[in-house]
Amino acid sequence: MSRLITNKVAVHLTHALLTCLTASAEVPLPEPGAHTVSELQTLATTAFRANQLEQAEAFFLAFERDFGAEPQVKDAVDRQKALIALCMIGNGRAAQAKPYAEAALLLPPGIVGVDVRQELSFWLAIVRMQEGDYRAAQEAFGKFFAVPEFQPAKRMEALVLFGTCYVTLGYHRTAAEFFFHQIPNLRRIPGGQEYAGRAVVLRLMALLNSGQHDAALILLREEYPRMAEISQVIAFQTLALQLGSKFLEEKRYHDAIACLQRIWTQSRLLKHQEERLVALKKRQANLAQDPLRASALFQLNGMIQRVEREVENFRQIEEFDAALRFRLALSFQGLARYREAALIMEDMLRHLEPSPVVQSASLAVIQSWMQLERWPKALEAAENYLVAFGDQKSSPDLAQAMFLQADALQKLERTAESNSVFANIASLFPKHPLRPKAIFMQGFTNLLLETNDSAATNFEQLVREYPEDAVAQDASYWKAMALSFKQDYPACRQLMESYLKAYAKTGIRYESEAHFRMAYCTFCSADYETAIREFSQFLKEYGDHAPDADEARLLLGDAYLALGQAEKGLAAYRSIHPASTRFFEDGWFKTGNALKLLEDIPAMRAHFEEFLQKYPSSQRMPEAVYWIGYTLAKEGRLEDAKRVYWDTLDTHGDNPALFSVEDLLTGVPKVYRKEGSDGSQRLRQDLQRRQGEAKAAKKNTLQVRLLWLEAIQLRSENATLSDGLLASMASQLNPEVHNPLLLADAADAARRKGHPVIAEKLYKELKRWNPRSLEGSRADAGLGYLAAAAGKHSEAIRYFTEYERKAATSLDLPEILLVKADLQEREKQARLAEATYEQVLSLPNASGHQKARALLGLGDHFARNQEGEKAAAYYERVYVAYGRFLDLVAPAYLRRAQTLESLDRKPAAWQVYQELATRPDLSEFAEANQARHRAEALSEFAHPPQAATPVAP
Amino acid sequence: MTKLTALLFLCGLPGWLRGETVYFLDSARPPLQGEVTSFGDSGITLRVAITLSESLQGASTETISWSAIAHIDFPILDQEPEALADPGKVSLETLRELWMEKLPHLSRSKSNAGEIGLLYAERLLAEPSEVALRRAMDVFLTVERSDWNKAHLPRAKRGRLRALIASGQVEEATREAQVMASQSEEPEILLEAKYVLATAAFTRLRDLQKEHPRWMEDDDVLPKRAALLHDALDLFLHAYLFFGSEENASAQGLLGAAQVHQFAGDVSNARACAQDILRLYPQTAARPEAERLLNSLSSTESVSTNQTNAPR
Repeated sequence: MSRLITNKVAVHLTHALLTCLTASAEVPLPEPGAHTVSELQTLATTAFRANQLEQAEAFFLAFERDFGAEPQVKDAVDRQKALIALCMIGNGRAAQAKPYAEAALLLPPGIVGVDVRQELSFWLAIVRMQEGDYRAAQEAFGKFFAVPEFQPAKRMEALVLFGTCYVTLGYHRTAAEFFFHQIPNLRRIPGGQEYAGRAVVLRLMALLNSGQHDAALILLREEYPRMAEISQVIAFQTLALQLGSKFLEEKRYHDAIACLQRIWTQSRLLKHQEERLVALKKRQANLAQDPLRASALFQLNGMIQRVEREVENFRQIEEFDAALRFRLALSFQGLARYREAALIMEDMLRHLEPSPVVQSASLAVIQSWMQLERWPKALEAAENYLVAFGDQKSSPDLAQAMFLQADALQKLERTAESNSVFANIASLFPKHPLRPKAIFMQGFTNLLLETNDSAATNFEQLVREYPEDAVAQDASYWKAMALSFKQDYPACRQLMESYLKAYAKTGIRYESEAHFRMAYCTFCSADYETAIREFSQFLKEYGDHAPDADEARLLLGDAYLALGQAEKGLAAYRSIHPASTRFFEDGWFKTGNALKLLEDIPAMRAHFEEFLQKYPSSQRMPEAVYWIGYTLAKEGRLEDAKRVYWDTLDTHGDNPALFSVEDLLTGVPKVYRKEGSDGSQRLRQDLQRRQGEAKAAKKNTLQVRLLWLEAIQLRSENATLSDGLLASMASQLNPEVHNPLLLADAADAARRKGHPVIAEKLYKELKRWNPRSLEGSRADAGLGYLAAAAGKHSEAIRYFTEYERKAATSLDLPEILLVKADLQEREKQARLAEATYEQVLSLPNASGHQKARALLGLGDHFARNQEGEKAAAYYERVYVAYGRFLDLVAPAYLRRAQTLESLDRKPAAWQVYQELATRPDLSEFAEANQARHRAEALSEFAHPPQAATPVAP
Repeated sequence: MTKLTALLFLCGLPGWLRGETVYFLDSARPPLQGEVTSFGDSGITLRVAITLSESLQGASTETISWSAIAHIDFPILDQEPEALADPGKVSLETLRELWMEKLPHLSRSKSNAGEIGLLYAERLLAEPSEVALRRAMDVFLTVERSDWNKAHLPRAKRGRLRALIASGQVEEATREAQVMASQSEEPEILLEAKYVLATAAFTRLRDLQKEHPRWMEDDDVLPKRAALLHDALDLFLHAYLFFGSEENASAQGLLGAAQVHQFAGDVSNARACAQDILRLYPQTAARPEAERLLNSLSSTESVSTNQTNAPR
């Protein structure tokens, strides 16, 4: 019976748990006297055994009603109290069961066994909870736990519910403390993981509610690795989110991140719990068939119920993911970890539907990318924002997003587009606080675009519409500057005066700059006397505090010299600080020039010798040496002039970092030339001797420089030998340190000498170590030629295109374009080839011969593409417009004639053949011979000479 | 015909069932005892003894097709338990032998050939030779393609990615990783793919800077360098930012990001990433390296400070 009851109880209690002790209507009892004592007992017991609890309860109650007063059945009635209680609990009438249960528990253990006591005690505690008497419930759970005979699973359940009562009573600190001690105990008991997990969640809640956030964080950190074990993982993570939010509010960003960054997405949480439910229900189905596992089933049912409720509630939460990710992003932003913040928000935006949170995050993303200076990402984010929210014209954030878009465009040097967006902002948002700044930036971008008039207009508009705005003064200043850039100096002066007056009382932000600019405008207007006064006043007032002070000194000197006041002018130059390298050196050399004009040769020499001694690493060092040499040559001291060069080279020639030495070297031949016709010979001898000395002294850089000069000198005389010398330099050159000019010359020579491997290596190393060097374009050209020679046409085209991009005004460009066009034809890039030929024709620095070749190329292009009429016209242009280039005229004639013949215009063809064949200046060309034969063949189409056909445009 | 569960005792010739005693268990028929005479793609051939009378015995041949066999309970080979329990404790040769023996049954249900293959290949990855890496790649690929147990697929894919990276085939690894990242929703595979892509980007960044030592002056190279730098960082941080509960992957990614920041001279962010490892993932394998990196950042700053303060 006891076992039967145990089994049944478990089942009933399961039912009771699932129905949450929901009360149901009382059972109708059989009529009094309808059954005897034994009948009722049998009926009740049978129904109980068959799980027909309603009937069992009815029969038990009828027994009690009908025979309860009879002393002989008192024991039976007492025993049945427990069963009645169990039936009532199973039928959802736990409240009614209470007196029966209490009465049953008062009976001796021999009548009510430990299993029944366990169940009744537990359920009484549950009932007390349901009645809201948590203290009584807690006491009951405590007593329950204290009975070691009760099942461990039930005892653990009671322990957890004991602690839950603390939470419900609002004793959060106590609850937290309680669970802190119990969790390790629960973990030690077999099967205790589930209860420990619940205790963790409850402890976390208690810590949060009692404001013990640090302890809550410690708990989170400890439990995160075990998160998958917690059945109420949604509750756990939701509490973690809550804690993280609190830390974020308190600007404890690291702690916020620790809470937030391990929380799963809503879909992942739901999936996890749904999979868990499937597994739990499978276990439930298995256990339900085994009456011996009733307690495990009870525990399992409770878990299922909790998880189901959790899942259901969690589904109702909107924007869980957005809220989580946004908080995490804000935490990173608080730490100035803008990359992390932007990545999180960007991902958030990708996966979420537009919403106010998403909109706010979108703007934050743009700001983060701007902070990181990732302009392409910032632009992309801004454009995405505009796509998603661009129709919300009333949104104050829209102007901000557009402003950032324009800013990113400007940083990407897409200035015209930037300008346009700033203009849009000003136009679309007439009342927005950002409008003044947008107008200012419109003006600023116009300055960058060198549309100074528009810039001035923008600045003027800003000052007019927003005179009190913070940027109004900047606009006022820059309006004047725009006119200076436009070289309208009188207007600029006037505006600067107005600017200074307008802000005299409130504080002038650009005071010294304005005064400088006024003096500058005066100078540029050639009013030197006024300029002198103004520069002098400027320097007196602002001295070295002004950033333009040294420029002012230089211009002051220029103004004095313009008025013939050399002494004062030179004094002004001398006052320039060496730290302003450019102005300082300008001043120095202008002083030297002044001395030259004054014909004070010794002073001039001494002046430049001082420069050489003090500033040998200056880029203008060779210029100084040149002038020293000039003064010596002026005095007829040619040997001394040479010595200056050689002494300087001896001192600095081995320093590869001084690229100015190559410039110095190019001045040496000029000195030797003054010696007369054998000067070059002597120079060569001296160069060779000095190369030997440098080699012996292991001055590699000096040696190679001298070799270079020797080769350059030979170029006009013996190009082959010159190339040989230059190519031999390759093995001595160190691309990491040597002047790219040497590298380019050596590479070109190696290429011409047929050493493509050496040449390619030098070109590539030149580009690698000198990315900004002007010689880089020579490397591109050289690599293009090498690729073309190797048949790698696409590669060659790529290099030539690169050359074109970097050296748009180079004198070599026409030649390179002609080669490129030819390669494009070979690569069947017909349209591109045509465009390239046309480009040659448009270049102002293309020679006549090159243009003629372009025309010839176009003729061939059209002939190849079956456009005979066009081809004929281009061929004709060659010999009509560029008749002096006979090497091109002859083929042009022949090809035109052939084209006309292919167009079946035989009379015209004959005429052209005839012209070619009969021109005496072309008689030596093979084409003339061919023309003669063709003219004979077409003699039937001969006709008298006619006026030349007009040249096609 | 109900599927049979074949219980095979394999001891002897690797990869062959020939000559062994076999018991077939079938709920519809009594156990069948026979001697395997051959097996191939179509099934197993048995020589079954028949007792015709007390004094008369014969034999018949039965062929059981693979399709009739539900699964095989493979016997345990010598050193197999040790290898499974702690692969580091058995020699590489042992793993190879186990793999070769089990390979013919890789596609047979319940075979643990795939697991053995993965252990073998993972050991090969640790070998410092090109040959070992190639072999590892082959084994991973074989498991990926033929293992009946699809649960091994992510591990095989990840292993092959690692092998590609280790052998310097960065471009191919990148392509594979990109495909995986776009197709897989499994966090393990996705994170491995992202990590591989990050490593590849970092490698290309280093190569670019080595190839262009004056990159900071080169207007053509600057945007490429910036793109690689940002790619590497974004990808390394992916696990940390989006799968923070994947401890090892997150810590590994943070370490990668810290190293990239350090390479780029961004001491502040390098330190921040390394400190995140200590703060959030102190139990992971990345911790010692994070500590070393923090120490090196401190000594770098100390040197800079000393230089700044040096007397002129």
